[in-house]
Amino acid sequence: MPDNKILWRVSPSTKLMWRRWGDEFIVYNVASGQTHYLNALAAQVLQYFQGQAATFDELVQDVRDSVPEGEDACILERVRELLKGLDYLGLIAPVNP
Amino acid sequence: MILGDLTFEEFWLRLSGPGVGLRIGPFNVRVQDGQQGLFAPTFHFLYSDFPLLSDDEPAEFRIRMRDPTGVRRWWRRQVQFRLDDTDPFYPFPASLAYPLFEWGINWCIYEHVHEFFVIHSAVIEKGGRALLLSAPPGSGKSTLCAALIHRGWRLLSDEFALIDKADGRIFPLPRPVGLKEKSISLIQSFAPESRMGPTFADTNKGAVAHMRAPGDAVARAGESALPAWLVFPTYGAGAATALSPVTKALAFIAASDNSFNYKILGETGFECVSRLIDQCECFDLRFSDLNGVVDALDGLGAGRSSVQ
Amino acid sequence: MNLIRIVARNPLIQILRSPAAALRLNARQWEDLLWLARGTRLSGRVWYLLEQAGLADRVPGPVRRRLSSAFLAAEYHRRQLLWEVDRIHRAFHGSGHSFVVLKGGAYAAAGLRTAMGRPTADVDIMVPSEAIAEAERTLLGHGWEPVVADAYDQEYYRRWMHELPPLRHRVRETELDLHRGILPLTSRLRADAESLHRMSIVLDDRGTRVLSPPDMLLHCAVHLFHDGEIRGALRDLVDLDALFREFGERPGFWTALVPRGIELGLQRPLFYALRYTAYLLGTPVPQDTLDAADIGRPSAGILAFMDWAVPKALLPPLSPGEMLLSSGAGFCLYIRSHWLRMPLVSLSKHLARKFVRRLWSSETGIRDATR
Repeated sequence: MPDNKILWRVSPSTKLMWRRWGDEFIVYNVASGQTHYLNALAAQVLQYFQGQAATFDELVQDVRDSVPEGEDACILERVRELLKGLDYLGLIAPVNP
Repeated sequence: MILGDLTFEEFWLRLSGPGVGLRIGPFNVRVQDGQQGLFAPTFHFLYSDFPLLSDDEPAEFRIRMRDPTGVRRWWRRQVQFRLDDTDPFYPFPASLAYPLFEWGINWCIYEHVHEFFVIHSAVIEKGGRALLLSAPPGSGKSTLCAALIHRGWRLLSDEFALIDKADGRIFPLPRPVGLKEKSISLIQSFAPESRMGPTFADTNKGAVAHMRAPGDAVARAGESALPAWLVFPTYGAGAATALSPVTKALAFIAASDNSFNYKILGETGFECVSRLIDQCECFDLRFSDLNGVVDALDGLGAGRSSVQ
Repeated sequence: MNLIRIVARNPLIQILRSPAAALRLNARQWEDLLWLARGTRLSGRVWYLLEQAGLADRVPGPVRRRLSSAFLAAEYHRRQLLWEVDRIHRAFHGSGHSFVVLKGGAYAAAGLRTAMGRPTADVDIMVPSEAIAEAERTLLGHGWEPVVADAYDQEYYRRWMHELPPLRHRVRETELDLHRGILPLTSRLRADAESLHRMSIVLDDRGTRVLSPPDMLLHCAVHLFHDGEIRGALRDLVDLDALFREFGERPGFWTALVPRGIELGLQRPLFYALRYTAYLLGTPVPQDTLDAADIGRPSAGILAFMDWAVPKALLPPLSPGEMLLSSGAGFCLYIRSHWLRMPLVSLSKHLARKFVRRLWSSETGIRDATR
């Protein structure tokens, strides 16, 4: 489980190619050669990490800010799973200490 | 000069000697040996309209349909498809040399061709615009293709869409159309003017036959077309014909899944699928009846899409 | 062996020696080139050499299509290699493991011209001996698993060779070999792994390490001349030639090479590497270096055998008769390289198993035609 002090980000050398249709996103990671289908939340989180390095707590805060009142019940868990998933896919990585 | 200009004897001599060099779509292919069973007459019949290579044109796929050496040589003869000096497949019984050849050509293309973006798809054209029927093997796209090319559509390919990486144009690869089992008689009754090669029973896909590509399609093998419609067909017994739009994201995924070299082409692969999705209206097609399909796709061709 | 005769009949060797030879090929020779290149997995490399020589548009259309397609496939594998290295970094993040990338992965990571056109994506890394068990455990926890092999092969790897059985990534299906050094523990040759680590070079701020240029070259020489099967390893000779040419441009490389070879006890493979690249591929090697490398010269008898067998084994056969000869020479060399690796008493039992298995399968991966 992510240690809350770890800084995550999309590595600056990672080139991502995006296509979007409504709330559906396709992302291609040039380095891994893999293509991913993302929903709106996953796309938002990925774009967040493209913009900055951040910890899990900072990410959760950012997501909460954008989610309408009352819909944030499982945010913590969903975001935790997303983080794990994005790391597993190699879209984000921990910043070297 | 086309293959049909050679007498069968001349053709046989070349086959057993230096090989027969043919231009098949954008590829130069040389075929040698092929003395097994019905291979030679079937090949001569199905490829009659195809241009012969001249002596100074090198072949890029040099194929030998050969007897593998071994104990079974004098009874239960076998045939092997050989590209260069590799044998990518187990040997077949000699009687199935011709279907093995066609499957072997398929292998050459999906294994080695990266100058195009290649999708597993039949491609037909009307009015300068191409329609892709994209689906994995066994989905009935060859049957659909064989039917439609006798209802006003030009055959570009029954198996592979060869897509230009720079502008998305589709390049023809007209070849004998492979049909299986019930499709054989279905097409024979749907299009009595079609010319069918022999039926090969007992392949592990059941009975297989090949329909000759229309002469017009072969003659126009140099004419590319821009894609306008991307259709994902699924056969359902008894299903009413239904053409329904799919979301672009799903079409993107389906198209890249059906591609052989999407991954190999990297960024270019991503751009090619992107462009294809942009250029095309994308549909799911459920069908069971050929006439229904003809009507539905004619509607597309005339600018009437069945939804929104 | 008559080199002029070999070269005259073999358009692949002609182009490898000098890309400008492409200008003199006729249609039949281009067809020969295509199948020779495909059979030796050098199509991508040939395209790269022709492009670098500015000859791409002098190549006939069908040949250009095949060669450039093979190059695109090789480029894909090169990107995959780089990604594998990235994933290994990710697996080792926070664990303190350092690793040295070897062979193709190293050529790619270091951005060498040698990496261009190579069609493999398997990765080899070297880890300090005392850390190797822990490193393997870490990798197993990040999606790698041992390649399924029977108990005999597992024991062969662990007891007799320098490497653990290869790992394969569960999802990406790429192969990863962990090494303690660049030679099997049972080889008569030794190459001090600590020294290799000490001289290794850091490429980036992630700490990606590769061997120093002389060490990289010596490893390639060892791989070809004292490791596994020599038959059909023309592409390894091409790697050697590429490394010589690329590193040869760097000041000090030639003078450091032979002393380093001697220091690691690898003067014999180095002697062979210099001799056969120069002879078969025309690699430009300074006379001083050739003279110094003579310290690794074998006895006259062995040298005569190698002079006969190596070209026969490395050059692809042009006809069935040649193929038999090539097999014979290759078989001799295969025996020899295993002899160098294992105590004699175990050799014949192991070889018998391996050859029986090879009779019934094809190296290209035979499969069902109907998919």
